[in-house]
Amino acid sequence: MSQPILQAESVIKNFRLGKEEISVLKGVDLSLQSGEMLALLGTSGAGKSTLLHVLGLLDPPSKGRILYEGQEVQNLPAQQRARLRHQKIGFVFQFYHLIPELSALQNVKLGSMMDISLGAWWKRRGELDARARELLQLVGLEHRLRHRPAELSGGERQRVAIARALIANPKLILADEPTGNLDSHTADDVLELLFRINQERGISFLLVTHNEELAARCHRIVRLKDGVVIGEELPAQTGASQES
Amino acid sequence: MVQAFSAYMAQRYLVTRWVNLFGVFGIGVAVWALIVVISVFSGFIGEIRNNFKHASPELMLTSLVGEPSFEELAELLRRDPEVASVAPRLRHYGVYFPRNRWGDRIVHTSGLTTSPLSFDYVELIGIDPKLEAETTGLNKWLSLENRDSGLRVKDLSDPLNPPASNPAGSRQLRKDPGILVSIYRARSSRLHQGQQLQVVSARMREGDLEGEPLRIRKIFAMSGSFETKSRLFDETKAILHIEELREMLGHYPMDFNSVDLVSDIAIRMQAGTDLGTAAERLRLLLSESQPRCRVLTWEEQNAEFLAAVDQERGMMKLVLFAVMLIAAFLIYATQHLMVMQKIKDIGILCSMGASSRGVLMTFFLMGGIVAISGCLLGTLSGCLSAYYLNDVNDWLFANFGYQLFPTNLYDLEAIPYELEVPWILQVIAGALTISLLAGLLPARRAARMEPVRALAYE
Ligand SMILES: Nc1ncnc2c1ncn2[C@@H]1O[C@H](COP(=O)(O)OP(=O)(O)OP(=O)(O)O)[C@@H](O)[C@H]1O
Ligand SMILES: [Mg+2]
Repeated sequence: MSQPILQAESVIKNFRLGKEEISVLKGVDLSLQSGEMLALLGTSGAGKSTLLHVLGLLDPPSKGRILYEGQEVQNLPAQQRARLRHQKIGFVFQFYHLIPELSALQNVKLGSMMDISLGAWWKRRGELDARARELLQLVGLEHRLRHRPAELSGGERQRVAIARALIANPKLILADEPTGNLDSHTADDVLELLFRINQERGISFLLVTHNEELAARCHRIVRLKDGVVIGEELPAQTGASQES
Repeated sequence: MVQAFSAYMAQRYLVTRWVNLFGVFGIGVAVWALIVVISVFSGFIGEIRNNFKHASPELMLTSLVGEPSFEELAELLRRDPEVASVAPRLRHYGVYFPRNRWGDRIVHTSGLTTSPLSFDYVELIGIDPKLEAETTGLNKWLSLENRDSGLRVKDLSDPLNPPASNPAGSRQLRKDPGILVSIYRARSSRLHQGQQLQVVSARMREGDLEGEPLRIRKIFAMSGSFETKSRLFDETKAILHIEELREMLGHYPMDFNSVDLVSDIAIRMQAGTDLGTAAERLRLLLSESQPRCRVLTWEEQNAEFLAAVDQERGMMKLVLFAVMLIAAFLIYATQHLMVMQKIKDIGILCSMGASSRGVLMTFFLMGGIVAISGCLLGTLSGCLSAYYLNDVNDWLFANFGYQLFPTNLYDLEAIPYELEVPWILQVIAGALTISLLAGLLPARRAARMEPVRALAYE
């Protein structure tokens, strides 16, 4: 087996609330292979989102190690963690988190501006614009380029968010209940899209969900409870295919 | 390095949020006011300095002790190769009564006023017309450019020679010594050329400081008016022949014991002389005969007034600087508002790979663009409105009878202004510094936000 793209070793995360210290992650071990689609299941409050943020370097762990392609990253300076976040990881959130001032196209393009100087971006602006349009076409929104988030449906917003997550060519997408806010029909469409991206582009997914059915279609399931991993399983039909 | 997203987001926020215009407007107004008001002030000060220069001898020897003799001192002064000419001045004080009102009032009954023109009390300046004309601007003072020709002296080479007068009730023409009063005084007291003025004064007897003072009374006739452009001088002085004043003070030219008494000596230097160093040199020249004398340049002669106006300008700068602080606060407030409204965006940007430096730069750029636009707007409008101030003033006066700056109050033909480049640069630098600082605080706050908390912010 090749080297995992992401590893978490004994990750602990505590929050301070006044004098009280709340232990949310109590030593989580996890690894994600390249191209793997992993479902993270757990009851509400189990610490799924917290784990996602810690793994995505948005929030430092209190203890433990995080490795990207074998390299320890949790102690890197903030600047480098930000760069890593940009280069390796795409985020997709339950509530889309698009920038309301920007159109769909602009939201996606913004993803290509995070680690490039203004001058360099200006020289490549044509190429990057074309790429953003291509991704919006991939998610089926080529006719909604100029719409602002407020002028899009929930499903459309999530597609924009997915296109945005893809623009920097990440190796891994961390998705926190990406369909949690959508009706089941729309949710299915969005999920199909995610599975397709995983298959066609070989991008790994860490998919937080409450949905057992959806989890069953992933390569592997990890169950989290009260901040610890309580079980790992392989679903019946591994490598779930949408043709079936 | 400015990352592309910082510039992009700053630009998007600016064009979608009109509230930023407040900051632009605030800084613009502050810069505008600092440029316009101070340039008018500077223009005004320049005008006053020109007027003082016009009204004052280049150098003035003063603070003499004993009974100084003009010829003795002039002798010494002329030894300096750069001294071009010298003229004697003698000062005393007096009250004058126009002929038709001699004794018509014992107390002043006219309304309470602070103008020196309302008192018939003047400083009498005795001059030698010929030497004075060589040394100071006397001939210019007497020419009354574009003014009442009726009050102009008939013969510039003999300015203290009034026309013979024929006072009411008397048949015979009489010839009195001449006196010059300023055009303001002539107008406010309705004096005309040839009008008789009785000058009344007093002096102490020599060596008898406890005794009765001696009354002095002499009748003069007005030979014309002068205008030096220094209001202070014009309102408080009357000019007469130095010999007349010496006689009034008990120094008769025929008297063996009397000297050609002076209280000051006006000095003109060769063109191009540095007046400051010349003044010091002349003082040293006289240090033996007049150890306590002073030689004042025209600026020093008017130092108090110039310092007062300069101080007013300084105060004005301070007041306007406060406006600038308010404008900077406006930037702070709008930027702070932007940051508070955009907390979620900050989280989003972080999740996309923005560093806290990038977030800082985003908001700092926004504040910076506001500050720079405000400065540009203020500088441009400030320079333009200083430049067109007179047109605006004239237009307002023509259409509404209102003036921004009462030119007639200061006898100015136009509002003076002086756009001083160093001052403008100073204003811009000051405005940029404090508004950038004001923008930096909210930007730092944005940069310190924890990404996860920012994302969860509702
Ligand atoms: N910043 C914080 N400060 C204090 N406690 C926190 C903070 N963030 C999360 N928690 C706590 O950590 C626990 C786990 O939260 P988390 O959001 O990770 O749960 P979750 O598994 O994602 O739940 P859900 O399925 O409802 O989204 C919760 O009890 C929550 O109250
Ligand atoms: Mg959650």
